[in-house]
Amino acid sequence: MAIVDVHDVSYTYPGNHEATLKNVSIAFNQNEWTTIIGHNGSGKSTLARLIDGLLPLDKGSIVVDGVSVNEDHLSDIHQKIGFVFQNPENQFVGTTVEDDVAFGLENHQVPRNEMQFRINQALDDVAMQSYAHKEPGMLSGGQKQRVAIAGILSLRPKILIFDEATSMLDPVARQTVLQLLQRLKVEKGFTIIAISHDPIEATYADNIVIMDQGHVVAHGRSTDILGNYNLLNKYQLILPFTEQLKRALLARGMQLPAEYMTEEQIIKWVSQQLIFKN
Amino acid sequence: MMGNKVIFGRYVPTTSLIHHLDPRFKFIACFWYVILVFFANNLWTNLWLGLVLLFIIRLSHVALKMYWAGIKPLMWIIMITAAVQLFFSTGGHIYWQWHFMSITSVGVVQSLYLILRFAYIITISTVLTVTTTTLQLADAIESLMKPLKHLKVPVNQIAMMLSIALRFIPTIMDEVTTIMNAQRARGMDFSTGNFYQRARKLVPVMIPLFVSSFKRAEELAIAMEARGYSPDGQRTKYRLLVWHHQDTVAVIILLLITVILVTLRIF
Repeated sequence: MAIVDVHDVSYTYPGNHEATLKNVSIAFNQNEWTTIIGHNGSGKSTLARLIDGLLPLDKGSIVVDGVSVNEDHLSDIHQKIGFVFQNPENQFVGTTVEDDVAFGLENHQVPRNEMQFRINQALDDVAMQSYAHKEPGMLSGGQKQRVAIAGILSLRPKILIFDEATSMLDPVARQTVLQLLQRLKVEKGFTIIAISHDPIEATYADNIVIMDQGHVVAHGRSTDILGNYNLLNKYQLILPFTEQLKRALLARGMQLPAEYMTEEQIIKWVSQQLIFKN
Repeated sequence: MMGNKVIFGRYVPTTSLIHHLDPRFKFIACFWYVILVFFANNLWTNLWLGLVLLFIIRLSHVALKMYWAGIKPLMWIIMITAAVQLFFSTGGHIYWQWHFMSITSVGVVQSLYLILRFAYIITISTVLTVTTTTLQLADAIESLMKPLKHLKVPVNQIAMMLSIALRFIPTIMDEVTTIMNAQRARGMDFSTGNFYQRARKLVPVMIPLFVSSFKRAEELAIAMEARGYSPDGQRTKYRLLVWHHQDTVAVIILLLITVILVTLRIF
């Protein structure tokens, strides 16, 4: 079932001649993780911002969980969608961790006596409770991003949008954040829309959308898309490591399954082959 | 890390009684004390205020050298003002005279009082800043500004600006260091030259700083909007200032101090 429905949306930034998005129609399924990949300027960030009502819609319509995105429903939309941005520093509003989580609650006029519970719960979900009184300067990038996630979790959204939210993190912090999202998706039933350059991040997704020059050029299950060498190659997207390994094995004349395989699957497959050969 | 080291000393985290007082009370009491300082016009009133101040310093559990550090950078201004007072006052017994300058008994006493006044005012401000975090101060200012809402002053927006400014001071400081290091790596020397030359060298630091600050501001604004912030909207408040018994007691003590001062002035 589609929870976000984008219909025939076009968008041109003020002062630009060429449209950034051109007649995009796409549906995002409930409780699924969809990653949008594409090069800079492909329109993926613009699409995410339009869905959250952060940019005014030029043409077309977007419906989020039964509410159409326009001026009148912005508060409602912002409550349904939690948005995490790229730079952890520039979305940290509060002077301390707990103040930052409280910021969204204050905006949505959550009563004071309910706040403490929701802040604790949200910080607990991202394993940042022991940092509640720390200042942002004392946190690493990954920790700040986890606080940003706690900030949106406290508002109890249905949809989480991550706009390259892990691109400024080191590999370990990135893994931590991605695994956290994976767990939240399963435990709390979130719909996740992630925007990324990173093939590793794409491997966490259920679905993948490829955007190029303002168009959606591919949309499907991630196993199909990540396994489609010609498609990824056509849009010059980097292959995930396991796919690179598969290409190398194929080039040596080995027979491999066509769909995308995770690291564990490929390890299992390779060991089976070795046992078979001996 | 924190940016409140500019003047008057920075927050010293001890668990003294003064630290635990309501920041609103501390803020008003500080102003009140400054007003009292201008009422002190004789030996006894000045001694009384000095005693009160020593007592507060003792209660704050903050080392005396922190207070001295508050006075030290302003020493020159105090001395020059006192010297002007000393040489140009007239009245009383004349000790020394040269053209239009003279040292008189009144002048000596007046300049001594002036030094005391400066010292008292700087020290009481230091008491406020070393015992109160900037965040508490911002909350106190917001709370005290509330009545201005009736005059259509955008108190909520001003408070939000203040809190964001405080939040970003360390971030911007870090940025300045990064930019200066980047310039140094390309051969810039910030430490030589006269005042004018040094000021000129800061231009290539300020420009990238402004550009990145504007970019930051834009990203922050979008992030705030995504989390439901609307400048005109109603908001609830997480951090509360709670008035305790000890604050009421402190108000009574402040009134007593005032009554004694007035009595000393009259008699």
